[in-house]
Amino acid sequence: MNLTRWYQLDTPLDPDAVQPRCQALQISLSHCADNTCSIELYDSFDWLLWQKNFLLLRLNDQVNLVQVPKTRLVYSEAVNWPKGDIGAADLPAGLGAEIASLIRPRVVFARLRVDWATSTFAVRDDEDKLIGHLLSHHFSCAGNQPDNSPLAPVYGVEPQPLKGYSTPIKRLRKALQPAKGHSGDSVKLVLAPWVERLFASGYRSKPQLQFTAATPVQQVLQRCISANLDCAQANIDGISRDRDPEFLHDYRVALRRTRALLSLLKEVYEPQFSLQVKRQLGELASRTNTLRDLDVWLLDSDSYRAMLPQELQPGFELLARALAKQRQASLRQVQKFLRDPETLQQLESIRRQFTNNDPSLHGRRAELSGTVVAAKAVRKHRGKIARLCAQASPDCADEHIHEIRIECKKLRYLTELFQPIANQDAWQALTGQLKALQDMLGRFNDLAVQQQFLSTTISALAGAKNLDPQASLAAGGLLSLLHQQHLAEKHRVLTALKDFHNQPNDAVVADLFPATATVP
Amino acid sequence: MGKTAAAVNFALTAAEDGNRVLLIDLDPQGASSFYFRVKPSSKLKAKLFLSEQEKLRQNIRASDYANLDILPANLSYRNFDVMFKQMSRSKHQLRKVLKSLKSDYDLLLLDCPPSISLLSENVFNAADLVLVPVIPTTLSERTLGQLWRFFKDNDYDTRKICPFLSMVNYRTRMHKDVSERLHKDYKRVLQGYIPLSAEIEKMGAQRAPIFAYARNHIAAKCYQMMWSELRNRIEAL
Ligand SMILES: Nc1ncnc2c1ncn2[C@@H]1O[C@H](COP(=O)(O)OP(=O)(O)O)[C@@H](O)[C@H]1O
Ligand SMILES: [Mg+2]
Repeated sequence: MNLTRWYQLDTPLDPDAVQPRCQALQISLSHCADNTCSIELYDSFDWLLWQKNFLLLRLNDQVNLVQVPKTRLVYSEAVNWPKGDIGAADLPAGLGAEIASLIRPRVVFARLRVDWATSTFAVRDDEDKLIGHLLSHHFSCAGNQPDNSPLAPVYGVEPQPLKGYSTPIKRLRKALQPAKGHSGDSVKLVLAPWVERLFASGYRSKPQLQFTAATPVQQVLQRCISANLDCAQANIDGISRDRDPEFLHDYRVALRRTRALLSLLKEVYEPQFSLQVKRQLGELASRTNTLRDLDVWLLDSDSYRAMLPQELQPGFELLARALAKQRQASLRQVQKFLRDPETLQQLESIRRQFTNNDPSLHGRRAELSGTVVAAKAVRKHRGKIARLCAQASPDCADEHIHEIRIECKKLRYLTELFQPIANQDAWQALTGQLKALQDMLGRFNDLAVQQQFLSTTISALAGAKNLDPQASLAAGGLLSLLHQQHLAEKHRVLTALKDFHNQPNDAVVADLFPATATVP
Repeated sequence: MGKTAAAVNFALTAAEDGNRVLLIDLDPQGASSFYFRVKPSSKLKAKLFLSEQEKLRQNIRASDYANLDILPANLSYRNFDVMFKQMSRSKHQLRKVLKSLKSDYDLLLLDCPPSISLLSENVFNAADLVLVPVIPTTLSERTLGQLWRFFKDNDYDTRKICPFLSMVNYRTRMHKDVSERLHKDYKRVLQGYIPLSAEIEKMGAQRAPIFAYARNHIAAKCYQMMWSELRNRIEAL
């Protein structure tokens, strides 16, 4: 990967147009070669590599992993790179390891194709001595770009002086480049800015909204729900093609967030309408429950395998195979469901109801300002969680802790929605605390869910006489290990819950939305 | 006599052969710089903090050809001159200076001015081989004899001397006689020879080595063949 420095121009280099400037410097340009190549940029559908400041590029048969903003080639290898989606397991070993150290191994695919054309000019002085070369670069986005594509072509020149001629070549470059023009390598000047723009304009698992404290809450919620439903729709193709478990995950989160916000921000929409939407979205999500459980199992299965002793490994493999088979079946069901025109129609009609924004569907509180509603909802909901935390004890049921987890998620959706009008320091503090708590609760819950999942699956398989005794043995071993971890985790969870409810609720809310502190 | 013509063409042949070559133009006339269109760099910005060696290095210019750099005339000469004076007329100064270029190049070719001067003695000390074009004339033969004597008298290794026949025209009786005698008298005379050729003379008008415009001409081949012979000598050093 050639990462030399070049200088950006506003327009493509036109040798005829620059002739007078060259003459003044007693320099002549003569065209000698044209080259083209194309670069493919790979990332996950939600730009995980980019978010970690990495670009995965393919140039011919060379893959390169480049770190930005200070362009650094981290890894480069000539590989026989397959076309299309590339699963983590299909990445060449070295690259796979590099990527696994950055993001969770997953599917990457071509997100951007760039055509890179270079014309080379020989630069000669007044004695007709070759003193260097001038490369003229032209980058354009390949494929059919919509008219409003954010990716306008980029032009530049790269001076390549021969030894001893850097001064006249530098003079030439200065004569060609506008004052204060940018300079840098292709990653800095083209690829990174383009990806940044695609990332900013494209898919987001968490829609970012801009609004003010005075914006009516209905507008805020309407935009948020529309964006979430867009997001759910955007993931359907990926789920159907089984590209990556993250598609399903994001789909479910988008639906869950929508439902949670409709519940928490009561009467922003007409109650009957809210209820109906929540029910429909609940149905669209629940049809994927089994597949998600199996995905979670698969994502964790390597760590489970590592937990088991050697004797149980063969049984574990049988179990894993049985579950993989089950996942295939479950995937087919989900695919059938999501490809059903009726399903798509249903999601689309819900989405349209929100984008059309029919005032008759607005609730009693639609016109209230965002801050007033937000402060109230956060106070109420955080209070509820604090009460639940206070009731948690070593002998409370797992369901109780599970409920806290669900409520924490909802509170998180709520605070995330109102971040633009919250005090940022207080927001960061609360979010940090919530995140830590959620991580812990998530682990605790995963352990519970996996135990539950394993025992029901095993019973079902055993009932259908589909299970090898060795696999049952491995499952049993795994169950008891999970159970032990579960108990240990519970202790830690309880301590964390105590910390949470010890903080006075009113103070937290007042910090978060200072403007509303005086409003009774 | 053909020193510069040979230096220029050997330099390019050796570079094409894969060697990293620096042609150092020691002649104030700057003929070899001229053939490569390298200007004898006008104003040298005197950077006082630089060592003499660094100054030389800064004046090296790439030629139009891969692997071949030029240290242009005047400039290099002036600097060498200053350097020698500073070094209280040392005869070994050039060798020291050139040593600093050893890692950058496989072959250093020095295109020397005529006459035996202090510079020449520096060259005799620095060089592994001293290539001497000899036109098959009695006068030219005598000059070689003088050089040989000078080496003997001053304790230089005469095995460094590598005479070769230049501007040969076998149609004349005298050329033939002198050539035969030369090969008899000096056993290190190169087997090949450079013919008297209009194509070589054109280098002046073309401002380029012969390979740039008459690569397949017999004269060009002669330089190439002689380079092979030289390469063997160099490898045998
Ligand atoms: N083999 C040759 N045949 C014809 N002309 C030659 C030949 N070698 C050199 N010349 C010409 O003779 C002149 C002197 O040659 P040059 O190589 O500059 O000699 P030196 O460097 O020894 O003074 C130049 O004009 C050159 O073109
Ligand atoms: Mg000369």
